[in-house]
Amino acid sequence: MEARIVELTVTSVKKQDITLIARYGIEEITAPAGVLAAQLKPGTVNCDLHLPEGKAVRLHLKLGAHKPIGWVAQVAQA
Amino acid sequence: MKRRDFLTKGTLAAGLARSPGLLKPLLASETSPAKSSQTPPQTAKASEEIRSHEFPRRAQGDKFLPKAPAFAESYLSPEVRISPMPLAERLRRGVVPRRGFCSKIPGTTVSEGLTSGNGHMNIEVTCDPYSEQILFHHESLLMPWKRPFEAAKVADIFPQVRQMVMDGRYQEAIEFAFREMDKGPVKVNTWPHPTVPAFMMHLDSPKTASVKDYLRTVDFETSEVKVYWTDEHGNWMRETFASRPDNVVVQLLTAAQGQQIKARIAVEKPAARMRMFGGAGGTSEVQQDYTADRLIYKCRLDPSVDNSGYAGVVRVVRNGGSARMDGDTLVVEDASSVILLTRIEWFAEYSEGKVEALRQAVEQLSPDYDAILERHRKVQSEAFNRVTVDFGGASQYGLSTEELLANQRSRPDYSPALLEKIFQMGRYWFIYTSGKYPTMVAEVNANINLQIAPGPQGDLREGMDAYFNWMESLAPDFRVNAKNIFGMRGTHYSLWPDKGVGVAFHYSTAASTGEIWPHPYWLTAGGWCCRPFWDHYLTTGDVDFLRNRVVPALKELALFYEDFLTVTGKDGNYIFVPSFSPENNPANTSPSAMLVINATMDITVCREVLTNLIAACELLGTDADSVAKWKAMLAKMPPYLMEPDGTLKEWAWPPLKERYSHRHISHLYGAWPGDEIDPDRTPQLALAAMLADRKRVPERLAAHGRCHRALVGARLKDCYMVDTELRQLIEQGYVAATLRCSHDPWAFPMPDAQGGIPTIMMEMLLYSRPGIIEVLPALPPTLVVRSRECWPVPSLGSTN
Repeated sequence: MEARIVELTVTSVKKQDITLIARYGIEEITAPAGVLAAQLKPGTVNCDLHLPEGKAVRLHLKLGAHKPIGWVAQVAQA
Repeated sequence: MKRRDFLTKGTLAAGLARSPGLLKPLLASETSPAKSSQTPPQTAKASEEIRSHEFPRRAQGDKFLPKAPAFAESYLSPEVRISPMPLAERLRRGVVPRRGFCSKIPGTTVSEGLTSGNGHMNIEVTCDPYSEQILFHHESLLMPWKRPFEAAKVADIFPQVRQMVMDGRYQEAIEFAFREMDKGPVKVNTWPHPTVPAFMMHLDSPKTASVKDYLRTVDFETSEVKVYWTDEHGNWMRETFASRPDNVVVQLLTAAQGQQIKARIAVEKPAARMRMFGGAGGTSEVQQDYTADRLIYKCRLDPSVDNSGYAGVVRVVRNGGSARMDGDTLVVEDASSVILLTRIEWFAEYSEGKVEALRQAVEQLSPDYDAILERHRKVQSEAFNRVTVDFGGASQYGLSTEELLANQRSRPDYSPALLEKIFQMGRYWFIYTSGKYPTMVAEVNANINLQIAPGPQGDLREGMDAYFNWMESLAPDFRVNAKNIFGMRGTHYSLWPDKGVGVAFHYSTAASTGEIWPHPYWLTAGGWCCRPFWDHYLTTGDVDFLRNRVVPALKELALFYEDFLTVTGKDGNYIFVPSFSPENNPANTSPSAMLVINATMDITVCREVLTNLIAACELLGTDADSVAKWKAMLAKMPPYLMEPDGTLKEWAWPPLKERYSHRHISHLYGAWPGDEIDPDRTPQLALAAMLADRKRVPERLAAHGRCHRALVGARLKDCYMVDTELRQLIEQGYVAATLRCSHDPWAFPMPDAQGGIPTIMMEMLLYSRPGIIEVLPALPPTLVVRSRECWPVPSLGSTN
C-alpha cells in the first residue's frame, strides 16, 4: 500500500449522481468505466460520480496534503 | 517484525503517521511481553534512548533520590492476594477474545463489573474468584407511576407567561408558571421513577490465601464473561452469558482438574444503588421461594400503585455432588460442574400462575451450555459485526484494558487497540441493552440522544426499532402535554420520556445555585427525538418507513409549531417566545432566568422539522396544501445572530448576552445532530459555529458536553476539536477498565459517552448526506489509522 491511499467501496440502492469529497485533496482517483463524471483536476477536494443501481463500485483515491480545516482560512479571507 | 511491517504500512497508507518511530515503544514491548504484567508496554523504550550513555547513570546516582516506587498491595480483595495473569500466559493460553477485552483486576462492586445481556436481561459481574457478585437486571423494572396522571394543566396562563417573557420579566415569568404548576398534582422537583435491578446473586466458595494468573474477559461476539484464576488447587474458570434466542442467563461453574465445586449461592434483594437520576419510588414486596433445585425470587414493585411485578427463576443443574438449603442460601458440594439457568419476566399483572409458568418454561430448557451458546453466538456476532473499524489494534493483542488505558495516557497519539475496543464496546452495550425498549438512561436533552446516536450509522437496527416503537407509544402523553401546558394541538415531547410514560412531569429548581430549569416550556425535545427517525430513513432509504412513521411524527410537531408561532417581530419574522436553551441562561440574566426568547436551538429544530417534512411530502407526492403552508412558515424563521467577533449566538435576540461557560452547546445542533451547517453550503455559519464550539468552556465535566463538542467539530472538519475532546474522554476517567463509560469522570457507569464515543469515531471517518460522501472529514492528526474500515450500506444509503 502507498501513502495516503483510500480504498472506498460504494453500493447505491438506486442509480444516482453524487459528489465525493476528500478535503486533503484528491490527487488521483481510479474508478470503473463510466463512474467518473469528468476528468479529475488533481488536488481538488471534490469530484462527481455516476453510481449505478445495486452494484458495488470500488474507488481508489490518492489523497493530497491539504488540511480538512483549510476551508476556514478561505471563509475568513472572503 | 511482521506486525511492525503491517502497522507501519498501515500508518503510511493513511498518510498520517508523523514518524514510524512512534510505533517502536509498543513494538518493543511485544518482544518481551512477560517482563512485568504491571508495566505498561510503552515504557520499554530502550531502543529509543537518545540521551548519552553516561547521562542517565550519572543522574540516577544522586544520593537522595526517592526509592523506586512499588505497587500498592491490593485493597480490592484484602483476604486474598490476587496476581494477574501475565501477558505471555494470556497469549500462550489464547484466552483473550479477538473481539472483546480482558481485565486483570476484579471489580469490588458491580459498577466495576463486566457485563452481558440479551436486551431483556443484563448482568453485571464483578468476577471475584471466591466472592462473586452478579447483579441481574430486567429492562422493564421501573417503579410504577400511578396512572392516570398528566402534565400540569396550565394552558390558561400561557399567554400571560409569554407576555411576561416578551416584557423581559424572565425570572418572574417562570416563577409564576412554576407556582401555577405546583398547584396541581404534579409537584415541582418531581423526578423520574428509578429503574431497579432485579436481584443480586452471591456466589461464595472457599478462599485460599493467594490467587495467581487472574484474568477476566468479555467476548463481544458471544457475550461471554469469563473469569480465570489459579490457586493451590489448580486452574479455575467461571463463565456466563445471556442468550437472546433462549432468553436465559447461563452460568457455568467448572472445577479445576481433580477438584470439586463447593459453593454457596444466595439470591437477595439488591442494596440501594447510587443513581444520578431517579426519584425514590415506592416500596416493593419481595418473596423468596427457594429449594435445592431452583431459587425463585418474586417481587411486586409497588403494591400501593398497581399490581405489576416480576419473578426471577434460577434453575440449578449439578453434575454430581449434593445440594441443600442453609437458610436462604443454597449450598452445593462436591459437584464437578454446576449450571445456573436464570430467566426474569416482568408482569403488568403479577400472579402466582405466571410465576409458575415461568418456572416451567425454565425447566424445559436443555442445560447444555455449548448448545445455548452456539445459538446465541450466531445472532450476536451477526449484529455485532455489521460494522467494524480497524485502527491496527491487532498489534496490541492480549493487553488488558488497564494496560491499554495506561498506554493511552502515556503516549502522544492513540492506542489503536483501545480505540477499537471502545468502539466495539459501544456496539456490544447497545445490543445487549436493546430489547423491547432501547437503551435509555436519563434525559432527552443530553443523554438519550447520545446513547442511541450510533444506531443509524452503525446499523444497530433492532435497537433503533425499539426506540421508534417506544417513542410512538408515548405519543398520547405528548399530545396531552401540548394541550395542558400550551393549549395547543400536536405533540410536545417530555424532557424525560420513560418506559410507558411520556408525561412532562419534571420542572425543577436548585436552591443552592438559584437555577430554575423551565423544561416544560422546552420546545425542542420532540424534534430532537424525531431526528433518529429521519436518520433511519436516510440510511435505509425505506420509503414506507418515511411515509408511515417519519411523516406522521413530524406532522404532529408541525401542528404544534403552527399554534405556537403566532408572535412576529417588526421584520415579519417569528419570535420564539418563550424559549429555552438547555440548560443555560444568558450572561446578563440570573440562573433563574433561563426562559427567554429565540433560543438558537429552538429555531434550528423547528427549521429541521419543517424542512424534512416538506422534503418527505414532496418525495411522497402528498400534502401539497400543507407543504405550501410549511414553506411559508420556513420563510418567516428569524436569522441566526453572531457576536461582533463572528461567534454564533446561543440566543438570536440581541439583548441577550452569551454565557460561554457551559457544558451544553445546544445552539450548535444545526451542525450535529442536525445537518444544516457545513463549510460548503453555509460557510459563514459554519465558521460562526466553529468559533462557538472552540470558545465553550464546560463548567461541569459532563461526558455529553465533550461528546457534543467533538461531534460538532467533526461536522465542521475541525479535527483539532475532535482530537482534544476524544483524548479527554478516553484518558480522563470517562472510560473505565470495564470499558463502561460514566457521565462524570471516575464516577459510576452512565452511558452518554458509551454511545457518544463510537459516534465520534464514525463521524470523524466518514460523513454523508444525500448526494454527498466525504471520506476522513476530521481525523485527529495524531491518529494512526489503517484505512480499512468496513462501512456498512447504511452510511452509503444516505446518498439516496
